[in-house]
Amino acid sequence: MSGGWNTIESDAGVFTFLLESLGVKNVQFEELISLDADSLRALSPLHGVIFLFKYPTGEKRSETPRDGAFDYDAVENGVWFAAQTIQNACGTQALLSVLLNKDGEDMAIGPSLSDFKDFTAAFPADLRGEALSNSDLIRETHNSFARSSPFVSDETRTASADDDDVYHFIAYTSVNGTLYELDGLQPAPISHGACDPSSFPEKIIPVLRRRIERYPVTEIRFNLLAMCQDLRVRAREMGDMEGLEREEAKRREWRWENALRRHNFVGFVGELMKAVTRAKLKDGSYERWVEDAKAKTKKRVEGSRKKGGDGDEMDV
Amino acid sequence: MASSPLITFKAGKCAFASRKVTPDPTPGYLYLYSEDDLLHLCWRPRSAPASDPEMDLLMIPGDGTFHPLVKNPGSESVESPTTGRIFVLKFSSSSQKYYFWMQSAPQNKDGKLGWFSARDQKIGQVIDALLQGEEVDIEQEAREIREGGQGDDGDDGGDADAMEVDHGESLTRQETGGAGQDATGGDPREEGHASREGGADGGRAPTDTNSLVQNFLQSLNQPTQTRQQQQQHQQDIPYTTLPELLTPATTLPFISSATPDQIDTLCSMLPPELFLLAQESNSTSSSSDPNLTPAAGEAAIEALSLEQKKEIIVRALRSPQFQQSLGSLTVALRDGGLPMIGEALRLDIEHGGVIRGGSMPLGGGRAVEAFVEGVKRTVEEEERKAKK
Repeated sequence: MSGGWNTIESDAGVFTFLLESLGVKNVQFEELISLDADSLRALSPLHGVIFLFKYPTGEKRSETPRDGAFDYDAVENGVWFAAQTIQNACGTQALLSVLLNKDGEDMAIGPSLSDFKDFTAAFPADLRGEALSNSDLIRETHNSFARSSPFVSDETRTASADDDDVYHFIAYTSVNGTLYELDGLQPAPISHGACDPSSFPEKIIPVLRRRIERYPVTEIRFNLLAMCQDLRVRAREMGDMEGLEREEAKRREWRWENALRRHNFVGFVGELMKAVTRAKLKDGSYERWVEDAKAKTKKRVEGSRKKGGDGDEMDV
Repeated sequence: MASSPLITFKAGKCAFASRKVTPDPTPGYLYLYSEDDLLHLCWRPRSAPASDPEMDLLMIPGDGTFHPLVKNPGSESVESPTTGRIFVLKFSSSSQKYYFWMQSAPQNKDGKLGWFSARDQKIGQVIDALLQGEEVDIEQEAREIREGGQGDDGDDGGDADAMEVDHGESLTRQETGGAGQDATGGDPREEGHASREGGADGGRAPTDTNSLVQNFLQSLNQPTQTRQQQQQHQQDIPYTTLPELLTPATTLPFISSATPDQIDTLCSMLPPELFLLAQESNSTSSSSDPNLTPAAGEAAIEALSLEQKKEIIVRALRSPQFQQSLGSLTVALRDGGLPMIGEALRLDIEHGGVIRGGSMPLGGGRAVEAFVEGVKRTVEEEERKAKK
């Protein structure tokens, strides 16, 4: 029985370092702000795109996908595709769906993932999914980037109960000259027609547009991450010092955020509480500080009771 | 037997031979009574008069322990490796053991006969606490066993009989009750016990207890039966939360007027990477080695000025990751983590964070209150010592 998988944010920094922790070299993620081929091409070599969206629980699996066609032979023909078995693992699963199909193309997936790929090479999709959810290495690495459990502001709500929809990740990539949509909840890879890696930036745009148009206009909760080669590599090759510096600064930001994400703040909070308490006892403001906080809490609890509470979580 | 029993529950004896426990089918009662300040643990068949127990053991406080016999110690589910719920009575003064089996109707909805519900565990805990010589508010504990909303399985059938005692004799009839209250559930308590054993040594480095707390926090992410149920403590208060106490409006002014020593202490509790990043010059490419030695971190901290260190702390205090951690720590306190967290931080928490007279951790707003008050008490003690 596999251990638990925690939720991780869909953030370029998280995903980049997640892969690096698994031994992957030369790969990074970039958040896509605008959906146009030029922006995508600027990230070449582009391995794939991860699309995160709110998954309507009403949508059923059907014989034909709403767009494209199921390719039941894809797995036999070498496409790496896994059925999703654990909800919280779906981000990492989407990453691996692109990664393991692009092994060797301007990147090295490293020994651990190579082993995993070989191990699951002959498996059908559902067994690959099982293997993924049972992989201690992948799960532990994934969990090390987990955000702290979401703060439950209403006593009667638990984190899992407040949303009817869930967030879902799917991957798009070009394999064997075909543009595939790899969704662990579907029975097979979905083909969107012929596409070689160099035309991927153009061909993916209308596919993504059609996908986004499926949801109400007011639904802005989706996120697009491109998986591409480490951008510092090309900046160095082209002698683009400014670009290189920009990328290095971004990496430092990511390292900063990930250091905080993975940090256990218990000791720091304890020390901070003691120090603030000490200072407030000294200057006589202790009682007022605690009473102010209690008043704030009371107001918030009463306010949300009136509203009936509302969940507002973007991240998975 | 002169006095009325402190606690009674339906239990049978067991024979134990060559590592095999065999239950005796005779319906009986296991009960504790106190006479002349001495505690007795007894067993009698239900048909026998209360004045004539077949077994009457004199218990020296702390000598005996009373725990479920479990097949997977430390797991979330408390379950005997048999088709019944077995308790084992052990002694530190001898190797003698006694086994008893619970004769009340099992409460597991999947029909697992060896599974201990919260009600079952509670009965065992009360008895164990009494054997340790702890003061137990029996009435309160019995009420909690009786009350509380849902049972672990939501099924009310069969749980009314555990502590029911036949009238016939002089014993006071105890009310039958509902399913056991699920306070904070099995897993935090298991964690709590483990950490008490492991972390009891005051000289142990904080990192051990830090990782225990981290594991506890992560275990809260996983939906378990006990995690999803509400703490139904009748007297809970909203109190407040860590994010509402440690707002930037509170913490930032504090940092700007903090002493160098206070700043250094706080820095030592942040990830070393933050300080290494601050040191890195523009021309070096950034490595992403997450496993930095404490020595490297210390060196980086020393190399920075007081202002730079303050900036880093402020940036961390403003970060969403820190805000989230305040939230999750509050949840951890509310969900039974107070004893463990109090111990990890070496705070003087009242009663060690358990409900007075029992062994269940405080929960809800009361736990946060006890935490904040524990911090205050600890600080006041430190000030007193410093003045001497």
